[in-house]
Amino acid sequence: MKNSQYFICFFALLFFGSCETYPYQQGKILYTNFCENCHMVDGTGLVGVIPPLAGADYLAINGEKVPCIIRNGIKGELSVNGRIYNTEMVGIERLTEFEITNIINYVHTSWGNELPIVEHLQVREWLRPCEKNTKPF
Amino acid sequence: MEGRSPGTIDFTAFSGPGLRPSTTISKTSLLQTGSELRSFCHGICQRTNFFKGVSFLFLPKISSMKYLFVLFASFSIFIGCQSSLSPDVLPVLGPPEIGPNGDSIPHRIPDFSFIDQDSQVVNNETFEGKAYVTDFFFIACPTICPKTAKQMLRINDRFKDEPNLLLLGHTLAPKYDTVAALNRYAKNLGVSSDKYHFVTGNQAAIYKMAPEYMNVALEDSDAPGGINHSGYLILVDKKRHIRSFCNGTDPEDVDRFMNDIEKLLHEE
Repeated sequence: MKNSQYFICFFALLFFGSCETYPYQQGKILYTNFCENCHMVDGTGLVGVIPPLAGADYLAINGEKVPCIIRNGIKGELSVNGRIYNTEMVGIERLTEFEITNIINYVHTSWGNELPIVEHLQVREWLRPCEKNTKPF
Repeated sequence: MEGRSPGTIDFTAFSGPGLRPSTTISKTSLLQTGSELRSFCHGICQRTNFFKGVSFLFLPKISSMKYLFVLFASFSIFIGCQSSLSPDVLPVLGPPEIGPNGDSIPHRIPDFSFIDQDSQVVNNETFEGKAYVTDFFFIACPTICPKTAKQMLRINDRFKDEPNLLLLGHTLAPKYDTVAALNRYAKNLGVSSDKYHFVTGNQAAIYKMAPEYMNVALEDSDAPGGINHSGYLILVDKKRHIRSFCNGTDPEDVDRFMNDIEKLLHEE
């Protein structure tokens, strides 16, 4: 009896696993819900006002700052692809380490971006400077 | 009959706003001019799209014959409206007033006067003999505005060499979106006040204009950014009549809207 239950679980896992075509589904959903209004569905942002994420040098150069920006927002000037942006972004404090990791990986692998995948332990490390808002999970 | 009483299903499926046959007939008989008829049919078509979209939801409840009928009916309404989806002459939209002789007076944008990003007065005379596209936004808006702004920029780019079309963006947060802030915003977007006016002014006066352009704008502390507003882009002709509109967050709808602009510019 117990064995058959394990079997069913195993095959269910196999089934759903094989149907999953894109690895960052959660990141995609979170991006749609929290980021897309401003950074746009294709990651292009809004010219001169909201920086792009697609092909943005900032992600490669300042990748370690991104988790804190997602969590706490950012105010002041920011240079992306040689252009200065100065629109305040509000943070999304409710996002967990894992969710932030998934968003970053979605961004890193979308719209032609080919940036390295980050792991959540790495993101936890990067979140330390803004620790006051860090949540355990 | 699969255990369902006949009749009920057709009705459920037809119960989109204003789609009950009886309403359709009575409303049609009230319509007098051709343009009204067209604008009404336009409305039906939009609802029909909605109706087509949801009709499959009723699929499990109805027999296949009924389903076929509903499908056929919705399809024929849709096809029947196709011609008016792209009418040769754009309809005059907005709530008409009833004149003293019982004739209907089409909705007309009332007088206004605001200040733009270069401190110029922008009023009805600015748009004398020209058509314009307008919307309501505010710079710090965290929801629909960036998407709408992107579509307004598309319109700006496509019609940048067309002297008879201007753009007008009303800020809904004049307290923050001052002339200086709007000037910076316009510079960042790379647009010029020859073409695209971002206006600020008396808050009550701006909010009063929103319903005239068939938009909603109200302060609401529960809404993100503190302002609850719609993102419709409105096309106004040189006689101050609304001729077309679209959802400013939907690029496909904006494509259709730009064709309407093209059509209006070729009118006369």
